[in-house]
Amino acid sequence: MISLRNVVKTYNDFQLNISMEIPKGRITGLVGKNGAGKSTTIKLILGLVKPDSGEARVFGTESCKLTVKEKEQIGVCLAETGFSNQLNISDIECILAKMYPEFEKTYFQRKCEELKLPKDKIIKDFSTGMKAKLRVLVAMTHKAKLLIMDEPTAGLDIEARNEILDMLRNYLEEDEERTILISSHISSDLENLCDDIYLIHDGKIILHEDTDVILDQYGILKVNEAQYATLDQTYILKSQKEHYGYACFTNEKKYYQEKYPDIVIEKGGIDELILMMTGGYR
Amino acid sequence: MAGLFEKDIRLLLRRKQMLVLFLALAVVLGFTQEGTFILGYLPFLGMTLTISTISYDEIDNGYTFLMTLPIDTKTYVKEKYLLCLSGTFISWIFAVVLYFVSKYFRESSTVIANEIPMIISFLPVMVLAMAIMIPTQLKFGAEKSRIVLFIIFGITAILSFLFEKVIGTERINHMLIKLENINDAVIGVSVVLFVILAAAISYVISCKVMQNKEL
Repeated sequence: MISLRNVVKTYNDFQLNISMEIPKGRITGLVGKNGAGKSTTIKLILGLVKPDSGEARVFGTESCKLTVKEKEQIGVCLAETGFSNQLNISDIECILAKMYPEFEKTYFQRKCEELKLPKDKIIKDFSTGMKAKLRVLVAMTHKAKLLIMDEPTAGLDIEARNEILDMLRNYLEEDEERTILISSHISSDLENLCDDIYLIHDGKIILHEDTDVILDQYGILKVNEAQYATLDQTYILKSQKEHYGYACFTNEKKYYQEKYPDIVIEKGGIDELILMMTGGYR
Repeated sequence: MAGLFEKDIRLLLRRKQMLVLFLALAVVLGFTQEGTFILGYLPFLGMTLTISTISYDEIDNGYTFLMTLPIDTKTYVKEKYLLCLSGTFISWIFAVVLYFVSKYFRESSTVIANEIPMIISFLPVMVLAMAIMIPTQLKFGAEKSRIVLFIIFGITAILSFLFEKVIGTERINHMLIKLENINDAVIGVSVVLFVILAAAISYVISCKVMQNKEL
């Protein structure tokens, strides 16, 4: 569905250099700190920026050459941009109906009511949460085969986030070939939703793993100086000095649980993965 | 493209109060100002209003989102030119009606046929202005494009002044007399061809500007 091969994009003081493969029917998460390159990656996939070298393809077509028909198959939710703030929901409904042959008017109207989005208020007067919900809804109402969502749940409270995540799950259930690429800072959203995770740091993919594997097999060993000195380093991905000794990130939690029953081992979620692999764990 | 038209027309209708105010002002000016002022004022207003939809697209990284919709840069540019031409033409029609109504009340007898060439001559001027304004706004954005346009029109004024100084008023008058002797149809066709060429060049430049935009 999406393929990035050795894609390089250089800005003044930043270089993105990544490869990714996202097959159809998957929900893939893209995580990383601010400025890691998540939004640039999404823009490359959408053909909004051209790579300096390498190849970005969607549906087998070069991203910059996506046809109108192919674009109709993509639903996009970008952080902090969307339809003009001067329009209201009724306006957007009419525009989408003209833009997308597969636009589902009834679904759009029903969801607007469920999400409590006022029809006649201009977007400028919406709350941050309402704007975020509308952005997601706009991406999901034309039976797109591919959803690309950049921070779709940012600024939403827990209830609204769950509503959005449920919408995304239902969206996938309707058609097994549908694919979602989602970037988010909220790890719990990704842990409950994604099949696999790409971790991007300083413009490079530093880890790609199935979410189940991360949750089952990754963990943080908390060891003192003496334990660290004798610790088998085979499956330690990263170690970091702490006040009590060392925090060691592993992708073989069970191996260490069996071999070192005295060591404290914590669950390795996506937050821990980001922090340990990018050097910010405390 | 239908979706883009829908979006722009709805954006324009959001400024209903301003549109009504401009139209009221046009009616007042049409009846109070002597001469052809209204024939230039109203189409220019229609043109700037339709071009202003580009500013809405520009705000809050709007281009980035728009280009994720099922359109390409060429369609976007084409829609802007068509919208602008339509807006200019509709307001020109309105201006022509106002012009004749006010003239009828003022002079009671008017030979419409005598005025047609002068009335039509406003259209190519508007298209030429559009051919400069759209690519400028796409390239530099709403704020900077005002400065750029000011510079462009300033340079044009200076060049015209210098042209007059270098060539001399007498020679220019002589050239104008020669032009008057040329067949009206030849002049008409030449103007139309020139305007079409300018609009086509402008369109190509606008497409290049949009294609090279990093969103």
